[in-house]
Amino acid sequence: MKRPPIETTFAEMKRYVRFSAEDEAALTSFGDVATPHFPRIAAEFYERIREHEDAHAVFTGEAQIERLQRSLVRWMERLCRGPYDEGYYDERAKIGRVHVKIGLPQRYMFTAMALIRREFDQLAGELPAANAGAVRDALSRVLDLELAIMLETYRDDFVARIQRIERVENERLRRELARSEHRYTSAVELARVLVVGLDASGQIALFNHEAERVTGYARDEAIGRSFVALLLPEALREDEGVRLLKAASGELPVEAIWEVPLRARSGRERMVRWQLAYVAPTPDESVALYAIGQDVTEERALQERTRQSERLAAVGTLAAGLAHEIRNPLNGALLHVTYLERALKRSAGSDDALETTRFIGTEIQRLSALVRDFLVFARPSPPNRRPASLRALCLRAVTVVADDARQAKAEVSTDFPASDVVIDVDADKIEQVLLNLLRNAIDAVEAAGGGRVVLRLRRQPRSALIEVEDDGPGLPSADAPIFDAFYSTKAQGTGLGLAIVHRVVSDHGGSVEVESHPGETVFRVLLPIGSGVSEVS
Amino acid sequence: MVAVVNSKCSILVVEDDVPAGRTLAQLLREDGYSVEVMLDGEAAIGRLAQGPPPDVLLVDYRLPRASGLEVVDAGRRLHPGLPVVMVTSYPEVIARLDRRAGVPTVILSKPLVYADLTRELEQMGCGPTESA
Ligand code: HEM
Repeated sequence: MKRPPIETTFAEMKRYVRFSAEDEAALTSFGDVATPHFPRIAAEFYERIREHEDAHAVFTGEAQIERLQRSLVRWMERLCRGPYDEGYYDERAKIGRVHVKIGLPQRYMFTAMALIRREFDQLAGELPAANAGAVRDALSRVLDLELAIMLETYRDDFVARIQRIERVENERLRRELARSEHRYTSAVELARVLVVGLDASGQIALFNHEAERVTGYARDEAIGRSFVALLLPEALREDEGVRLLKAASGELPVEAIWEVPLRARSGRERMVRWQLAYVAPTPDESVALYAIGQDVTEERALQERTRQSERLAAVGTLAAGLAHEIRNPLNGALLHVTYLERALKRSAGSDDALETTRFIGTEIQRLSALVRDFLVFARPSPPNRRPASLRALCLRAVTVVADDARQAKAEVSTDFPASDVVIDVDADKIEQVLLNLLRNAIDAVEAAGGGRVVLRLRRQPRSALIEVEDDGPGLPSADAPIFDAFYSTKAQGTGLGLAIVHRVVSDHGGSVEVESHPGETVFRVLLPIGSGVSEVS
Repeated sequence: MVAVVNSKCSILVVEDDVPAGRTLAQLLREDGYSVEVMLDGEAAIGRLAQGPPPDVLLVDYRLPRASGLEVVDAGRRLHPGLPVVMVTSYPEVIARLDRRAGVPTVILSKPLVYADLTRELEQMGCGPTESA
């Protein structure tokens, strides 16, 4: 089969109006008669345009109109002469595009054409009757072809314009999207909350600036890593970790609020309160679990301190009354025991009896020490501050515990800065703090058959740092409430040593914390440096 | 053994806990002190106003009828420079009074450790073998 040749737009138009060789011939014969009239018609054409404001507005001047009249004459000549080929179409389309370009409204093409049609019709009427019909037919077809071509150029322009509009619109949308994305990014990045997104497998897909700040991990270190493995403390991975993974994969409903410590890059833990939201992941978005968190470490520590001091205040009132009631009978008892011991010695009583008596005496004194500690702890007096040399206080404390240290095979050493740190403190109370911490450290290394204790003093920009470090077995558990009153792991302990430390340090506006692993436990006391500070070389 | 000499150091013990006071007096006497015991503040003040002053006033902080501090005040008024040992269940409270005038020379906390007391007495020049 033969493939039909591809028909051009112009050929298709001509076929539609049935434009034929006869029409071409009729137009040629018309041209012979009409040509002398063309300048007149052209003049009238532009006169008519002048009557219409919107149409006239496209002109730039009289010189242009004269030029256009000549163009229009040439246009009419070719209309009659042809040839009606693709070149004809191209020329006409080009003229059409000129009108489109100058912004000529489409309707004027029809109204203007009507004038030409009318003039030609009149001229055709002057032809011999035998010819007139065919010429009118031909004129009608060719003028419609002209209009069709003109419309076609408007259409092309319309499409081009729409494409341009689309381009502009796309650009606008793109910008808008970029802007809103920028806004969201800023909101997420500037917010003082952690924003973390996890995919269904629990990998970090979103990690904002605050998350970087709190955890110490940079975004590109965190993205793609497992949240649980990177940030959860080991002890929580089994339990909390698995629950989080199930929430991310959609197996378990999320808990709206989740408070959990995070292990920062430094190894320190930060308490973070999360709000979790699950979104089923889509092909476009892998994040399934959004976690918005707030670092509540300081808040919790403050609450804990407040809780402790409230408890203490209540207990303190009770303690003061009780102390008297206990000390008085102890007083009588101890005097009697002293007397009894003397009497037994005098009458050469049995060693066992003597031993028993001494034992009672020791127990009474232990009970007395408990009452004393408890009062110090529960009935704190405001610190009586004077400038004191921390180095001297440390040295004195080391001297006081020297005997205990020897017995415990604890080697106590000091590590002081070159210049002394002199700050306003209640020297007696701070000495008590040092003694309690040193005794604890000594007890700890004694439990391990001996070891090393270091008392360290450092000057920091806004505080004095005192550290008591030992290489004993460490605290039994990280969560042990060691600063609570009566919490003790020692058979002989009153359970008040660290509570007193905490109390005294808090009363000085300082803080105490502990870091403990087997083989290394450090108690760190920070005392704020007030106004009456000086450094002495 | 302790040698008992004629010029014994005299101590006025003011203690409302009768058995405790009696036992303390007995221990002190055995150690060569001359001891008088008063059971309340008023009686102690009366005694200080009448007889010869003791070498040391050993007084409880809390007493019926007149407090230990009142006894100390009276004693000091009657006998300026009178050495005083105060025994108390509230050493923390007394320590805060420290900055006031007319305070006791020595404060000892209950339960009283007898050896601590005799050491303090000796340091005040009130030994059991005080010699001329
Ligand atoms: C049947 C209607 C029309 C025909 C056949 C026609 C024909 C032409 C031709 C042949 C040209 C010359 C194009 C070129 O430079 O190659 C032209 C240009 C022009 N036409 Fe028309 N025209 C028509 C309608 C109008 C109307 C209604 C206006 C209304 C104001 C108009 C305004 C112009 C202007 C301003 C230019 C010139 C642009 C330039 O400065 O080059 N035309 N026209």
